[in-house]
Amino acid sequence: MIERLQEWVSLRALQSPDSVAVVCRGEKTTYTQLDALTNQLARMLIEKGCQRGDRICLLLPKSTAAIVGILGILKAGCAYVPLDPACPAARLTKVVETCGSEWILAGSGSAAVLDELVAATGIRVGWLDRDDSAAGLKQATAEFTLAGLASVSEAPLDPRNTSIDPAYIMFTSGSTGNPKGVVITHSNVIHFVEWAVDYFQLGDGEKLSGHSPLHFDLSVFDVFGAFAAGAELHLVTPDLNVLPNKLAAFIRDSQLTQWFSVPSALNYMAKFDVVRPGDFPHLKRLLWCGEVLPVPVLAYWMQRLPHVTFTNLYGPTEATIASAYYTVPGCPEDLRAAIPIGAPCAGEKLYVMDDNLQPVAPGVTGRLYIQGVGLSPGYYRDPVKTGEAFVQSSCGPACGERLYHTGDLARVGQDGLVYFLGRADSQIKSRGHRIELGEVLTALNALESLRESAVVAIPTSGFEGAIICCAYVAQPQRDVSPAVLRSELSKLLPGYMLPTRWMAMQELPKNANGKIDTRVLKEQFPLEIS
Amino acid sequence: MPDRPLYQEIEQFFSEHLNISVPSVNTDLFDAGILDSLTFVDLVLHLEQEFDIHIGAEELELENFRSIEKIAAFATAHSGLQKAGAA
Repeated sequence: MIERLQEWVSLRALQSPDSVAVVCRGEKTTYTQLDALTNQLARMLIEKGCQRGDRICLLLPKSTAAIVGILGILKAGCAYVPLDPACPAARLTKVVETCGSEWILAGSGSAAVLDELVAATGIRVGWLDRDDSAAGLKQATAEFTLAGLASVSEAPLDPRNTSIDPAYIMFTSGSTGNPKGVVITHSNVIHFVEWAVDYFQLGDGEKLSGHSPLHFDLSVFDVFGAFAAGAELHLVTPDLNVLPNKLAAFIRDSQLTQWFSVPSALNYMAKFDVVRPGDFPHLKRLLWCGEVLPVPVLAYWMQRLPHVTFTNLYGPTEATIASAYYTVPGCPEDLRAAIPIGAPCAGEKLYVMDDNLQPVAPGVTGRLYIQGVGLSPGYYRDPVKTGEAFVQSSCGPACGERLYHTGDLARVGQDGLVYFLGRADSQIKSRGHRIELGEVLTALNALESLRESAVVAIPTSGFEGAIICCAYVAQPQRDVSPAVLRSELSKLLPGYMLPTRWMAMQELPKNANGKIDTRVLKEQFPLEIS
Repeated sequence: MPDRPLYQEIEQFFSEHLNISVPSVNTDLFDAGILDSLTFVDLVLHLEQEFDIHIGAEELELENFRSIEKIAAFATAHSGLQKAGAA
C-alpha cells in the first residue's frame, strides 16, 4: 500500500513509462510526462514559499492542466481546494478566506472571476494554462506560468507529507450561508481507492471516464482510481455535458471501460434515447453516486447494455467518495421497487439508529451513521460544525466509535441491505449538487428589495429532481420581478442553487408561533406551477 | 423568417420559465452566461412542451440554440417538418 496519493503516478512512471495517464480533447499525456511536469510544479510551489499543509486553490476547468495542478500541489506537501469556476466571486471569496489560501492555480476561462477574487483576497496566482495571454490581468498578475515550469528540475522530490496529511478540502453548501470545508486525508482516499480497485478488478488496460467536476469528490475516484490501476483517465469536458448524443459518442469512441457519474447524466442520455442496444462494447461497468437513479432509467440502461455491470455507490463527501455499494443483480422487473444503497465498503460500517444512538428494528426508519476509514477529520477550522456532525458514541451497538451523522434517513431491509429514504433536514440534491436551503435563504435575505422570503424544495418525479421554489414579499414601492431577483441572486450563488419557481405574495403564510409555514407554502407552489 | 410574435413568445418563455431577461434576440445566450448546461436542459424540455415538438438527440447542436433568433428559426423549421411528416 502506498502512503501518499501522488505515489501511484510515480510508481507507474517507473513501471510502464510510456503508458497513457490522461486523455483530454484527444491529447494524450503519459505517466512519465505527468510525473515530470508535476515534479516541476511542486518545485516551483516550494520555491515560492509554499509550506507543508498549505491549502492551494484550484480554479481551472477540467483539463490535463488541472490534473497537473492537483498532483503538483500534493507533491509540494499541500492540500488542493478545487473551486467551481461557475461560482460567483462573492462565494469563492468566502471559501478562500475560510481556508486561508495564499495561492491559487488558475487558467483562462476563469479570468473574470479570478480578477475579482484577487482584488478581494490578495491571493497569489500561478497560471496553469498554455494560453498565456490572460496571465497578466488587471489585478491578477501571475507569478509563474506553465511555460515557465520548463526550466525547473524534473527530478523527484523527497515527500513532505504523510498519509494523515490533508489531500484536499472540498466545500459544500452550509445551512447558515457559509460553505463548509470538508478535510480529507491521503489515507481516507487510499482506503477507498484500494477497495474499489480490488472490488471492481480495475486493471491497467482500462479507460475510465472523468465526468464529475473536480470540485465534486466523485472526481477523486476517477483520477486516483485510474492512477492506482495504471489506467487511462478520459476527461469529459463540460461542453459535452449539454449534448447527450455527444456524450454517448464520447463513451463509444473513447472505448471507455468504466463510466461513473451522477444520475442526471444517465437520465439525460436515456431521455434522448441515445443508447443503442449492445452499445459501448468496451464498457465493463457503469457506476453512479450522489443521488437516487430512477429505476425506469436504470432499466433503460440495463436492457440496452446486458454486457455491463451496474453498481450504485452511496456516500457523503464527509466519508470520502462512497461508503456503501450495491451491484444490481439483474434488470429490475418491478419499476417501483427501490434500489438499496447496499452494504458498507471495506473498512466502513453503516448504522441505522434512533436519536439516542440505539439501533432500530429492521424495516423501521432511522438515521444513517457511518463509521470507519473514510471519515474526515472534520470541517476546516470549524470545531462547532465538526462536533455536531461527527459524534463519539458512548452507548449502543457503535459504543466507543467515532461516527458521521449523515442526516439521511434509512432503513435496513429484510435482505440486510440499507435503503435510503430521504433527508432528515432541509438539504436537497439537485443534479448531484448538495444544496442547503438555508444557504439560499441567507442569500435572499441579503437582497434589499425583499421584505421577506422563504424557500422550499418540491420533489418532482421527473427529470429535474427537487426544484427550489421561492416565495417573497417585496419592499413597499419596489417592483421586483423574478428575472431581476434571479439576476441579483446569481451574484451570490452558483446557478444550480438559484430558485426556478418564484411566487410574489402580499404576506407569507405563518403558523401559530409566527414562523413561516413551509407546509402551506409547499401546497401553494404546485398549483402555481400547473 | 420567424415573425415578431414568435420572438416575443420565446422571450416571454425565457422570462417566465427560466426567470431570465434576454437583452436582445441576437444575444449569444452561451457567451452571455444565460444558458449553461443546467438551463440548456430546461430550455430543451420546455421548448418541447411549449411548442409540442419532439427534439431528437441529433438536433441538439449548440448552434441551434445560440440566440433567440436561432431558437425561433429552429422551432419554426421543426414544427413545419413535423407537420409535413404527419401529413
